[in-house]
Amino acid sequence: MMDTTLIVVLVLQWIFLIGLGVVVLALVRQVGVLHTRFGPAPGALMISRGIKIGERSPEFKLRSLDAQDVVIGGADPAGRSTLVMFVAPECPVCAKLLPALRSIGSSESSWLRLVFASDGEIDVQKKFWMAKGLSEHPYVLSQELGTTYQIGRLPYGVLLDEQGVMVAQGLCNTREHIESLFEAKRLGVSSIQDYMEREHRRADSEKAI
Amino acid sequence: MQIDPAIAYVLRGAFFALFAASLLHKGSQFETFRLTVRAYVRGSVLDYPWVTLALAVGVLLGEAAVVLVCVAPVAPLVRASVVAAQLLLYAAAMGINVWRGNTQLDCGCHWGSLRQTVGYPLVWRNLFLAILASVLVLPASARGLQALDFLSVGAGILLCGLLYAAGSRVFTQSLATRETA
Repeated sequence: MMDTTLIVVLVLQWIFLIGLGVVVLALVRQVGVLHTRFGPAPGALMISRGIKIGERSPEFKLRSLDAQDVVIGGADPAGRSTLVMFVAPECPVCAKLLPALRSIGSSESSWLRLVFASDGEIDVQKKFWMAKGLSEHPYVLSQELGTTYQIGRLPYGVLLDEQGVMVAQGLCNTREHIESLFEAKRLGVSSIQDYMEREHRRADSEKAI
Repeated sequence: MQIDPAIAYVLRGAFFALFAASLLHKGSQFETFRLTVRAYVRGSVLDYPWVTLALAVGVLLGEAAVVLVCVAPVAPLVRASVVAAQLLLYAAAMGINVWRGNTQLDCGCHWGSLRQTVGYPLVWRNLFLAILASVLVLPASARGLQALDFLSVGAGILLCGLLYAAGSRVFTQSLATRETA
């Protein structure tokens, strides 16, 4: 009788413990989902510590998901600038930004080449690429590219001029953030921090006068 | 001092499952793993393609050795040393890179598409696991296992897996929160 009771108690105890483990895992996963959905969305900040503004980007010879050769860095034969957008399938902000990126890629195609970059499992990336209708622009997978540019947060944009020199970069959560990269190129400022610093200096010099 | 054989089996089973899954993942995506190893040594004296390749193969062989000693009848000291050494090696590699400020590095320990950047929480996790592995140095007592023990061993291994998965997600999220804060 005692043995039977012990067996029942032990079995029940394991069922409860494993149930608790499953619940903990589900809760942690849910916290992650909430964190991703409601996490802070900082502005177009330059957070990368990789290649600096004004430096020439190394040349990367890559292959896109549709097996086309893609060169990032170096002089562009068509004389266009290159916007490398770092995205990932598991990044919800990236998914929200894709329609704006597609639109920019078409409207600015006369002077701008849009290249999507990511890394990770090719099957997951291909599904993402097809589901989001990104076939009009090259989509490359390269861990080396992300490591060289030191990409830490997504979606992140890197703008290279027609000679392959980095002219602007920053975290891009909205269309305005992407356009701020073009504006940074036009004004010759490297980032929003650089722009704010220049504005402060200009205000200080005006006060001095 | 001895430990109960059921506890020894739970630990051996849990480490076997952990390293077997890791080995399968790394082996099936070897090129990605090689690039991860390269990112670990970038800018150091080891930053050569052939060294990176040798290190990646070495890590895989190390993991294969861990899997083997978890199931093979080897001396407790050998088993504990191999498992703990592998975990301490990972902790050291991550610790050095975090200390160098290379905190955007993918730890290379994820399964699936979950990206996990390195950080001190992962170093502490590996040290904790190494301490757990060092328990295997104690010989198991001669108590014969009953049918009920097999249930406990199986359930214990499953629970360890669930807690490891939950803990990994907590670490990933805490590091991501720190990145975006």
